[in-house]
Amino acid sequence: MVQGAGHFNNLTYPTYRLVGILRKVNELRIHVHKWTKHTRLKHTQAVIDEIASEVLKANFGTTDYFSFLAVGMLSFITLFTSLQSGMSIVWDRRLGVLSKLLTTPVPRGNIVMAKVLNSMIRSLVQASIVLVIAILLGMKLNPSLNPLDVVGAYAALALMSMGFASLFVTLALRSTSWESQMAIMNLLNMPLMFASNSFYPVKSMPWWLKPIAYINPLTYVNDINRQLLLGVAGHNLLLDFTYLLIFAIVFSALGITLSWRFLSES
Amino acid sequence: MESAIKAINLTKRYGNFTAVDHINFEVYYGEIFGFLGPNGAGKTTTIKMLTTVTRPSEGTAVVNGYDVIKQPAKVRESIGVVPQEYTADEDLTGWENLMLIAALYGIPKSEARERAVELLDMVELSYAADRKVETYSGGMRRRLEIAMGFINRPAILFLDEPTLGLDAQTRAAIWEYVYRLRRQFGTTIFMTTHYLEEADQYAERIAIIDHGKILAIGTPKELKEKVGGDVITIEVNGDVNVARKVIEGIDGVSGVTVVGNTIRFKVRNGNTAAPVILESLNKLSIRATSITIKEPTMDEVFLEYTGRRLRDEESSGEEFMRFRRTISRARR
Repeated sequence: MVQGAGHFNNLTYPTYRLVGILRKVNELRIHVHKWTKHTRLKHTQAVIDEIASEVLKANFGTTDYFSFLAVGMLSFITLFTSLQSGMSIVWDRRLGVLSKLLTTPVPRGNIVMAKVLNSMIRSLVQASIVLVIAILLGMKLNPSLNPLDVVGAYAALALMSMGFASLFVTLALRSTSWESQMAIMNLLNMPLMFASNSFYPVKSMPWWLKPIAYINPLTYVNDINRQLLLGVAGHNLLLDFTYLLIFAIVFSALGITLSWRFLSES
Repeated sequence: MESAIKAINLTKRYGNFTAVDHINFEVYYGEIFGFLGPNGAGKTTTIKMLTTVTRPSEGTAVVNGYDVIKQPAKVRESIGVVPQEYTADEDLTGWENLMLIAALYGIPKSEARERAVELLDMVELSYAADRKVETYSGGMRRRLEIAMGFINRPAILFLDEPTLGLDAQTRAAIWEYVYRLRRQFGTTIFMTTHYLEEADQYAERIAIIDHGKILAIGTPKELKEKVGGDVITIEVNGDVNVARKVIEGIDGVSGVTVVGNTIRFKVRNGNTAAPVILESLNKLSIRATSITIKEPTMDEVFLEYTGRRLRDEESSGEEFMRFRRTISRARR
């Protein structure tokens, strides 16, 4: 044994011991497997699968988790893109373009809604790309899908996008720092996504998460989209749309009225 | 509606800092009026208040007959603005930028096309109209922005430091275009600058502004006259003291100083006073070996009114970034 490599010697001995133990465990496993071969139920796997799919269906409403998740991803990408609406105003302000714009007869509210519309269009394009990729990866749509369903799904995404874009444009009305925009964006996007039914149904959530999910617009968008695109059962479509409509109108109105007073060059 | 612009106790405060302090001035229709002052004097803030971008803290202004606080929409319809920063969209061509700004003013497409062709022709940018603005040089961008400023045939055009960062040749060319357009449309021009020569040469009336206060208003000539007139330096071959007494005795002379054989003094109108002085000296057999007549520069005018020379004021980090961006784009 070389004196200088003392600490290496201290590790090699236990490692050899560990490998030896693992080998013994593996041997045991093979033996048990052989002994229980004739007593193992043939269809164990199938039974477990069936129990799992019943649980999945009861909670998620479908056994196809990939499609369930894919619809969640549509609202996720829409959210992410809509939250970036404020950056446009911050940069316009920095470059002096906003100042020039404010000297033209364009109404202040129009400037706000133009940015919101911009954000909405970008969000919907992103969502379309995600949808196409999801279908290519194996997302299964409702076989009795009609164009009205697709229009309805896009309408839901558009309303949510309008609401969030208006909110963030309002936050940026007087802001000169894009860093703070990014900070607020990142503060909200992950929690909003996880406190919704994008990944798992609301009824599986703990009691303290449910209220947040119920006011979260993403929950409603996902509910609508899963019903329209996947044919999964859900809550009343009309109520869902009404909630989203109110969300969009309230924040747009807020953005427009605040812009009259507060949209300024600095 | 006698004056194009009338500022009444116009004030702007940012917290404790008063950027513009109760200024009063009038601009008449058809003239080129200039604000001359260092950076941070309140020039850009004043323009922002006159163009309804920011609300005054106190006081008001009447632009083209409309109050900036009570009727901002009407003010915006009658003005054009060429800001200090380059605000043309770089991803669009020159033509598209003109169409965009025409749409913002609600000008119908067909009329907008006619006006755009005319304006591009007047600023000599027709050859580059279909190139993206990011390929333009600083002078070209400025020309485009001036064309954009005239798209709605405004009654008043605001130029905020129009030749900032441009070389002397380009500066002269830019002003050539401004004059041409003004002749065509009869627009009143309100400009701000910190270039003394620019104010001297191109503005018809100037207001000197420093630390938010207006120190003097008048034509460049009037302001120079108030400084005391031209400076004459005479070198004499003879009795200096006698010569000095002669000069001091002449009407309109002030501030006589003697250094060796050289007498330096101020007089109202140097061109006409010099022959008179030389004649008086000749009568006493005092010969002048050299004579220099110098008109006061705007630098001296500024020194007279503000007590210091025009130099760069401290500014905030944000303002400095904008300034640098403007200069770097101008230098392309």
